[in-house]
Amino acid sequence: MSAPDVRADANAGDAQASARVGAAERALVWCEIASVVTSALVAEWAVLALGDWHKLALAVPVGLAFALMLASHRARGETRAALGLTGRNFWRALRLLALPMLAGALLLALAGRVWFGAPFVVGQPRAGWEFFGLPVWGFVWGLVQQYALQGFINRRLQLLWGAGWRTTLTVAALFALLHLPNPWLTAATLMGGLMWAAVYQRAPNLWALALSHAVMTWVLVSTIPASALAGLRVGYKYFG
Amino acid sequence: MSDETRAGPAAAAHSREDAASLTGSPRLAIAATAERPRRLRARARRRLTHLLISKSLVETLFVAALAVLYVQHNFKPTFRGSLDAADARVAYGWAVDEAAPDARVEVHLYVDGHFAGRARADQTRADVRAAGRARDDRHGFTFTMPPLPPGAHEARVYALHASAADRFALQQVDKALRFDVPATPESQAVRPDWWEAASQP
Repeated sequence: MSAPDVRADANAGDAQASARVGAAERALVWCEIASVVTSALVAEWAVLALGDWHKLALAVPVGLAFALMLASHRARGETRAALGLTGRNFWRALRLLALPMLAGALLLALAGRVWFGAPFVVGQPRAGWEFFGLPVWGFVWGLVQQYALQGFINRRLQLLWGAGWRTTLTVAALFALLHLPNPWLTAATLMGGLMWAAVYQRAPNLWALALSHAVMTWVLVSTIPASALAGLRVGYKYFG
Repeated sequence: MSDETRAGPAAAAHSREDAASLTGSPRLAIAATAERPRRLRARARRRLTHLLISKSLVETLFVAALAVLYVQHNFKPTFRGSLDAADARVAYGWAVDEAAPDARVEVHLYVDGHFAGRARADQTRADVRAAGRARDDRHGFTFTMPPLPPGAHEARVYALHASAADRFALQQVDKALRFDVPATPESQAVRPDWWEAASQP
């Protein structure tokens, strides 16, 4: 897709969104987004703060958030294909992701080298992750995160603003917010969020994004020392 | 079944509008037909609003329950006891954990905010059992005071308990007691920072 096409898409989306969505529905969309983000914050900052024996309690905010997202999809008649959970757009999304991923990997390797003097060591479990466990877990966890972030939040923001830089930036900012107070992870997720949100608007496919998420997580833990990443902990757990 | 059919006729109509409104590349038109969610009907909007309110209520109650559980677990409300007396020589009293009445509570003495000793509340106190505060006699404790400089001091006793797998907490037993140490040759020989010299009991 050429740059003018993208701008045309964004402008058309903006016009449609504002014309289509009334004030009541806009408020509802905002509440939906806020509710899902709140559930994630409750899980990170309240449940995980209370120690290991409370981990089962994570099921409550996570379950509630998924119940809301699924109900919302159903109410709006969104199909698996529309969300990007089929094979459609897979290769196109991968093609769009390839260059920014390569640039991101080089940037991370450079940051690791310059900032920490750490060389890129392929497969080194720097954040306590196993070599093979990380990609598999990263893919599953990435799919869950990308579904919530793109399949839900990005799509809801597109109802308000259409596709474009404002939606992309907001999705990335929310993604980064959910990785506070871990500074390296917050910065990395802001950059990743921009890339994934932009690609999803052009080629909505969550499998490709999950794959990209897993690969970039693996690159991150291979380039940045575990001491800086704090075991990829976020929320209250970041402090220990 | 096509996506359009599954999404319903309203969504299909909407998608056609989207496709028609976009005059860019065919690729964009294809994306617009399938990717945009449809506008909510009034009934669906009501149901979604009710779900949002219910979720918020449940989540609020959940966080409140977590807070109560956290406080109950970390600041155990089941300790009972008394610091009966404290003076220049001893501090004594009793402590019992009503959640585990047969267990012996470990207690710590702090004087003027500084650790001054630890003991197990396992001495005989028939009066505690007679008063119905414990199931057996052995819940008393006695501390021998460290050498203290002359003047006013404050003693506090805390019950020790494991609040998590990797965390211990101190829960104050009863109120603090103030007492005076008279000026004697022995007490005057004690440094004001007596806790620095006191060895761990």
